[in-house]
Amino acid sequence: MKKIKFYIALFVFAFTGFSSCEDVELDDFSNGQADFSTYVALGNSLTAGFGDGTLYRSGQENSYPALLAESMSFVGGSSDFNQPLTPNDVGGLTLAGNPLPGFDTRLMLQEGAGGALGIVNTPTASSTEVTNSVAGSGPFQNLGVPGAKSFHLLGPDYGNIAGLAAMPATANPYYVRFTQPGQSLLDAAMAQNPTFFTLWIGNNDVLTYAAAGGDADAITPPAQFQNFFGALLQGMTANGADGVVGNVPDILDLPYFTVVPTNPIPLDDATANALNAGYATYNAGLDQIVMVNPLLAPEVAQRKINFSAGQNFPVFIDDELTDLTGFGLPSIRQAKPGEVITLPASSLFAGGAGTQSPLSGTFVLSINELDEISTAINSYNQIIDATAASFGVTVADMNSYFSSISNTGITYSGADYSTTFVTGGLFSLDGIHPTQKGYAVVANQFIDVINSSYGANLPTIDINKYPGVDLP
Amino acid sequence: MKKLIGLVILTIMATQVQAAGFRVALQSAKQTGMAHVGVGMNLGPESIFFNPGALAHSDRGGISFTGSAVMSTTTYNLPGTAVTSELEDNIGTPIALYASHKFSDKLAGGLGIYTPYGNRVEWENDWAGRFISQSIDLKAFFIQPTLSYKLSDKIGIGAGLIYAAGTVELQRAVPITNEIEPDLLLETDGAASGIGYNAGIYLQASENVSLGVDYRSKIEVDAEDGTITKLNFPDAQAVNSVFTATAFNATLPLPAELAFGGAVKANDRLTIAADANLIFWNAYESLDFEFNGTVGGEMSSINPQNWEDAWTIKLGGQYAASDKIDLRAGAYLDYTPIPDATLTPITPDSDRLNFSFGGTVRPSDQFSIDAALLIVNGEERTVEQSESVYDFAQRYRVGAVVPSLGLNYGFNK
Repeated sequence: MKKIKFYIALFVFAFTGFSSCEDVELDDFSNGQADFSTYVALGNSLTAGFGDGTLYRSGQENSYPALLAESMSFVGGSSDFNQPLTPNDVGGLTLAGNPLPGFDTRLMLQEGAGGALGIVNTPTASSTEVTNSVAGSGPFQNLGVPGAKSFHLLGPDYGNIAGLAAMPATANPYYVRFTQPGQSLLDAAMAQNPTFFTLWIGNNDVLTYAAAGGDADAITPPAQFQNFFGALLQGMTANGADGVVGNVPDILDLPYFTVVPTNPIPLDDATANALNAGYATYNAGLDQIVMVNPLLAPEVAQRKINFSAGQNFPVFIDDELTDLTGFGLPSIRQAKPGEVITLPASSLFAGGAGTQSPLSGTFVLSINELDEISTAINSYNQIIDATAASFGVTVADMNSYFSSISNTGITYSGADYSTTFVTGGLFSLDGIHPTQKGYAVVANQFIDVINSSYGANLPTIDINKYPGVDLP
Repeated sequence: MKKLIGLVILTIMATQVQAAGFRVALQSAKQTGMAHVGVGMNLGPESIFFNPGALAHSDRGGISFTGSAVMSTTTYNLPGTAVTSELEDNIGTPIALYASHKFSDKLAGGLGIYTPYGNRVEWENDWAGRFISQSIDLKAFFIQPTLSYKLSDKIGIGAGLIYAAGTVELQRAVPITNEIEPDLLLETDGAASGIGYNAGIYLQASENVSLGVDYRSKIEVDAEDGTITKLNFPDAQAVNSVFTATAFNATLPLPAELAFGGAVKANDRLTIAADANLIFWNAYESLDFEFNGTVGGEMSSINPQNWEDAWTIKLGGQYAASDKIDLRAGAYLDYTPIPDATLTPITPDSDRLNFSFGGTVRPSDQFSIDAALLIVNGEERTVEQSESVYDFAQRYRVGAVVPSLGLNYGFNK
């Protein structure tokens, strides 16, 4: 009897000991050859966590650098990742209590008549005051500043409030909020002696131009970009830090440039005829010009305005056309296949823009402008590759990655995502910046690159934990 | 006492996945103590479940009740991430009740009410697999009137008609708006019923050796006109116009099972028994819902399962420590029927090596109390997203701790 009791005790001990109550085991996470103890992120709006047309708090909290830092915290990274957080999710900026033009509150969807969804600004007033500096709670490991171009990261006065009043502004209100006086973003990064960094810059060097239809701002010349990018990597690697740099995605794949078709205007026969009658004088004037100057025949052919029943190309002001205003002929033509009409134009057609009156050229990218943009992106990315190689830093090929996502989308844990505007879930309502879910996808791409180039095994991010576009 | 019975009945079928697939192998506390063997044993009223052929060999009628508490310890990890999840509300309480009567020396009959299938898996809110399943609560109970006839001192046959009834409630989140909190949930609710049988042959080969075969038929339970409920949906027409369904039809097969068993009395005190069960899970090819409107724009939902027939192999022993005390122990292998491609968090599953032990105390000749503890010990299992037809990466450690209590009353001969 005693023996039996002993056996039973042994049985209970043995089998309850090794079985059943164990939790599932995680992968073996490791830092590989990299030291993640002090991670600093340098970049633009993408790094800051910008989305829906503004910088807002939960977007910052789930910025890709914050997600990377969380992942790194499993393999020796600090669990404190300090960011210049805004007060709430309203977004927008105020300067001395007044709304700062061009820095509106967060975009949101609103259901209108007939169930149509429209995009509006959050009606709540912004409470992110530019003069209300948060520099005292620094240093910040997320040094992403929305709107920053490559050279802005090097500028000591980029956060100087006096520069906001200059025309054009020489300072950035987002950086004014958290700058140490006279400290460039690169200096702010270097001062923290990072062991690991990410640098993702260059988008705005071409995007600001593209977003303005190629009619405002300028593309940073690649030769200059090379100098700026070299200076940035020289600084970041000066103390032996490891890092990853992101290259420039093909911004022309962004919803901002793809949502509106080139022929977005539906017309019936009667309306088309009436419009054509209105442009008859313009078309006749062009015919007379050709008689005077036959060399202009090819241009005149594409300048002639013709509407028909069905989908129509909008009329817009094209500053690349030969100036015939002396003959009373405005520099207008219809957009043509292959050209791009930007997202903000979509709300203007109903008011007669593109038909009764020409659309501003700031909403249209011509073939030439598109070529300039693509050429610049290619040059930047070659420079990024070469510069990164010379400093021993890995490149995260965001260009290829974004292309593959816009071609195939992503399926993750039973949910399908794509770059389709609003419904795709990856791009926010500004059509340029990712949603928080999109940023989680970006973080995973950085993690994959870090893992393969530094022999690390950082945990990836569950992208379904992060919100996409909120439906009303 | 009345109150207690009410409570027990309320929770009768709230059953955690305890055996592979969505079987529940907790039909007798006595047998659970020895790896849930019993097809080749002369058990008393519990033979209604294990092998009706043995019932007539029992020397008296009786009543046997078993209640169990399945405390699931199953945990989940999204492979490659540090994301883990566990089950909410992780206690299920299946019961089984059998009553038998000897009409004559050769003829016995009885009634069993038991829960051979059930599935209650509720994951944490906002967990990683919510677009596949947030929760399932499948409740199925069998009512089985049974007759058994002793052809000779060696051979007994028996069969029972099974009426199966149950309800199922499924919730899954809908990834349509990408909102995190609150998640949109689709709730699918339905009641179902079906008919089948359980038949067995018992062979008392010698004084010390007994054998048995039992077959329980497949039962198709049809759920008709179940309800679909949208929870926490946004108002936007753009969403609601593709979710117009309010009702569904579906069919779920509860698979057939063939069981072989044998027992050997090694000496006056020690009995060793083994069972092998083959469960014909390949009947579960697809779980298809037909809707009376759209769900995500679709009029139906086809969910391939392609489960495979699977075995359980059991070995148990019983030791009569005294006239009043029996001690038991057992171990069994319980193979999963679910291939990697169609594994889902609806039935997180893996091959299992389970251990059990237990005992019986008999205060009198008529009354006895059984206790058992079953340790369900699933092998860690990982399926990558690329392997899953549901595009869901999953790693589980399946486990449960199951105490069972049995009460038995034997009628006077």
